[in-house]
Amino acid sequence: MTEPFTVAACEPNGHAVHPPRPVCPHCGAIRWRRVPADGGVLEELTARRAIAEPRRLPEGEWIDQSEALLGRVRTDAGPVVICRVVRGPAPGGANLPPETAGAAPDAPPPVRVRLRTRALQCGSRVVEAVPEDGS
Amino acid sequence: MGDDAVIVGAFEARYERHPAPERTTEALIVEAVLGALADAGVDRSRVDGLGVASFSLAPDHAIDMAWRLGLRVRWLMEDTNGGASALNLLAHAVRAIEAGDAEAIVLAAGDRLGASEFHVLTDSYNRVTREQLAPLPLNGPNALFSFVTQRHARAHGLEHRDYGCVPLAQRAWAQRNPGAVYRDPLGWNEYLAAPAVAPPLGVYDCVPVVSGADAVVVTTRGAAGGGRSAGAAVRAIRSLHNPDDQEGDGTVSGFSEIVDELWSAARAHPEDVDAAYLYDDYPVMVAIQADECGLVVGGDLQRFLHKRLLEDRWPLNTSGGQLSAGQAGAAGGMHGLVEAVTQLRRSACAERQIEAELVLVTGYGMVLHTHGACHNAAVLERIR
Repeated sequence: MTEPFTVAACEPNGHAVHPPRPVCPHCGAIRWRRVPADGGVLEELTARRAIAEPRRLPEGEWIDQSEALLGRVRTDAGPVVICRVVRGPAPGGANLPPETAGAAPDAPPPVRVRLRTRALQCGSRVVEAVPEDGS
Repeated sequence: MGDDAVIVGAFEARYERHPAPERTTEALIVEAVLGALADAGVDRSRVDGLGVASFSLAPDHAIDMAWRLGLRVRWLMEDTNGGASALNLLAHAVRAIEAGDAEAIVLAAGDRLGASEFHVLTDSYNRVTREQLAPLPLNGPNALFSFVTQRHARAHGLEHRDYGCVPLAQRAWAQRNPGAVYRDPLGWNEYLAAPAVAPPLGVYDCVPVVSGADAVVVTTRGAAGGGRSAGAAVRAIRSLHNPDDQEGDGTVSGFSEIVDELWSAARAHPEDVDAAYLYDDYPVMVAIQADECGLVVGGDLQRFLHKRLLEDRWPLNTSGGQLSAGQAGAAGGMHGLVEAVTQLRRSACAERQIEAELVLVTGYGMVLHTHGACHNAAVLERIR
């Protein structure tokens, strides 16, 4: 169900981008390959609040609207990815932010994370960040 | 060649959180267009140009609205750029008037957004959203602007309370705007205890989603004499879109690259404007725009927020802005323009009328992946 996260890099110069696009913004290349991007740093963290009713994605899949941690991760490969953050057991791992606005999230980024892609039944894929042990 | 362009009328179809079934997107846009023409004193038969921005008009387009409004036009445009659509339309309309392509153009933006329409909009905003963000699920851009706010706060040494000056100051203006959906006084206790939406963002850091529409009428200075009162001349408009390929972090925006040229073309300085209408989808974006557009005297953003905005009540977003009046989809891009024109024409209600002669209006939006990609700014001047 999961595999290590990868990003697109242009063939001639290896400029990594995410999300993928047809033309490299740095050199204009149009040929691409996938490169590993399964490590990175969680730079910001927030929580999307729970919504009571279930909801369908445009692709038709019902999604869980319970509270979710969302993060902005700078991959070691370069590009930024917006992803789910899986609550980790690590001391520096991502704990739920407090209930009221304003207070900074509990787990002070930056936190080292591993990144993986999870395939949903509808064919959509989501990127998950898992805080590294001991980080 | 034509004559100089001037905005001679503006109108906002009432914003509502829970509109009656008959207030469709089409009905809201019609209401705004007819209201703006009435405000301008321009007869519908004189209109020869129409520009429309809407997220929810599909499957109709601008030409359908021309037919539904009974307009025979020789200039027709549709703009899909959300928060930047109004000034984009205005820039084109001004050039069309000045080139003689049209003589009386109506620009309108509006959306009916119920809960289901809102989710369709936010889940399918663009292909990146549909494929990369909606499945998380993201449920709209709040989390993305939480990230921008956190980064901006670290870079500028600001706290949640500093950004709170924006919604608090704007709420004080909204109390004088019968059209705002949030009109109750907002104090620090309520703001700081507000339910979290995407920490550090709370309820009052996010716009209330509403249904509504806005419109303005642009015509030649010569023809404007038939109008009831003053108008707003466009001294300068500048735009920049996709300045950073989404590789920046959103805390430095495209405004930083266009403001020098804007002020130069407007033959003005930031300190010359009497009011500003900055696109306020989130407080952090007001802070970024105020800073980059040169409104923060001495560069002390924290002092600007607490002293200039909150304590001195300097006129920024005098309608209450989207944070208090509401965000009606694509109309959010025109809300500030309509308020600016209303103020310059001295047709605001007495409680919030200010004596502005020169104002700044901005548009911002279209999150491609992590932050907005579209930026435009205009300097408007009151003419009699």
